[in-house]
Amino acid sequence: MDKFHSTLSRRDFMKAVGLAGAGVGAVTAASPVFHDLDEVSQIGGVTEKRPWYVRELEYAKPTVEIDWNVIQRQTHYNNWEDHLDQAEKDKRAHMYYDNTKQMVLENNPGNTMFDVAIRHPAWTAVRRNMDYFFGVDGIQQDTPPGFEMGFDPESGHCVISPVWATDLFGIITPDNMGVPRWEGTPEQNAALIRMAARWCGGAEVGYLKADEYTKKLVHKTCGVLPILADKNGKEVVWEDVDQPYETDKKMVIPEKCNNIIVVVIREARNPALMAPSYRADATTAKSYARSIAFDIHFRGFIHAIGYTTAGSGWGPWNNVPFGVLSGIGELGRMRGQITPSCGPLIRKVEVFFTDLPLPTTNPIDFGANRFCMDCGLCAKACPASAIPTFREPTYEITPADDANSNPTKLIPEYFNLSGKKVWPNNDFACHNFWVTSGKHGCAACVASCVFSKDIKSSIHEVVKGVVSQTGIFNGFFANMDHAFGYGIVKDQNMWDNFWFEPDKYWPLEGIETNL
Amino acid sequence: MWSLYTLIWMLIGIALGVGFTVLINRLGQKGISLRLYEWIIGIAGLILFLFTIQNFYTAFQEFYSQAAYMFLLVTGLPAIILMLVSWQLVTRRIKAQS
Repeated sequence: MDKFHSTLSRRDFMKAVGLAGAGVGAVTAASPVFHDLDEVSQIGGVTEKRPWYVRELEYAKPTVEIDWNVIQRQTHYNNWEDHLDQAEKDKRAHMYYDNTKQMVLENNPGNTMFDVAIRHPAWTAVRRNMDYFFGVDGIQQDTPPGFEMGFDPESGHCVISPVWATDLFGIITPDNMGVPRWEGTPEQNAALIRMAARWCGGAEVGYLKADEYTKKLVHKTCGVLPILADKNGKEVVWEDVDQPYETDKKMVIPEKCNNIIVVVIREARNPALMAPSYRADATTAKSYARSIAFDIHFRGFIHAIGYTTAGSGWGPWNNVPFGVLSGIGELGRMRGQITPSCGPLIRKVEVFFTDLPLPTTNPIDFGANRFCMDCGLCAKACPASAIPTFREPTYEITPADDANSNPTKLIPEYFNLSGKKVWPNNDFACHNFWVTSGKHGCAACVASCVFSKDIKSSIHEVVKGVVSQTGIFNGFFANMDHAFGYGIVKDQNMWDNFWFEPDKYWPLEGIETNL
Repeated sequence: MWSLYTLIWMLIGIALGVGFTVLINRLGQKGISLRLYEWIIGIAGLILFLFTIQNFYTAFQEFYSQAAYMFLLVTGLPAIILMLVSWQLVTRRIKAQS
């Protein structure tokens, strides 16, 4: 038993405690103490903290092969209306409402009254605010007076009432606070913006330059969406001006806003796995609604520290490539981003052109794009056959004579951008399934993706680690994913009783539930 | 960060520590020394067994019950076989020596 008996005397023990105390004291004294916000903002990373298996690539050279000489600015993006004549649009819109009504009446799992009821108001929130994507003037003008403490500009008296008191609420600036604007190094700014983005409800953040590459991702004109009728067809240009502005003919991004902030808005996993359904789309709608709140909050912050932004909202650009180029994820077969943290469970990539000095972040490689070659589970799950099943990606885009989903006249250039080696998705067929089935949003591809997994089971991190190092097990892992029953959730109780078991299916996990 | 989940794994860690201590003491008392390959096979089985438990438990939390049972089959069964092989290698070797 001697070898298990402690030989430490009480005297030695107290001596050790004393030494330890002195050590702790010395370390504390030598530790940095923050004297002001400048010092505090030096903490944190310029880039996201990544798992060991994520490799960094060169700027503007992601895992998806891109011929930047071929890439040209698209006129605009459209995945449904522009490919149908009026009679077809009318017919299919009626199918949408009829099928939705029928599913609600039948209490169809995933498409119940509750699923429809939770989905539509989120889009209402989006539509109320979605056109605030150039500067902050629109937000400022539309912000109604609220309850806030301020000072009457005439009398100087303190005012707490539902009136405009001073500029010190809503959108503020260093000028009306009476302080100098924030000045930091690009690296300090990167950490600061990463924190602000998380605070406002965003997830991963990346940084790019507005240069010969990224400017090609901005559409020539603002989209032709009925909900943005006042902006339809306006030309998107850069000018040497101080603030972004908009006229009847154009929308102007200031040349000085030559840095780009890229922020991801994620979507919740559990409902998204019940696809295709209204329920899956409701999490999509929720994330879009959250992105609007994020935009107003985040742009207000940048304005308040003294800088200018143009973006993001329903801005006229392809948002996914900004995430791919800035190293948030890799481009996958389903033409969404696949991220190391949550796979394709990304709803939106927010893009802000700004004059705040920032560094750039590089694209990443963790084997996802290569994995997509041997996997194709998303393509097999797609009810619209909108995702190609062939192995090798191609520079070809969807053929104009593709009869999938019977377009009146398919114009693939409105949803496929030439110049990158991908699996060209037929976005019209995708959207058309949402409309005609009534199962708005679908998300079968997202639910089926091998990278959409939760973080609870350790196997997922093991698979990601192997996939990043070699592609020889890709086919095996894709087959195992299917054999193990992953993908679209088959748990019937989850489909049937989702709404009545919140603790099981949407547990409260800490203060922040968006990660 | 502390949760019931953390506590369970802490208890499993303690149980493993106590188990190994008892095992080594018993082996010492009985004068049994294990070959390196017997240790490797046994420990590999144990690691695979713990991996199975972790994934079995969490697959239910992820709402994939089929995956949970597949883990029992695909990793749990080999784990038990490896531990049994290690045990049988030792007992049969000792039996043969005596």
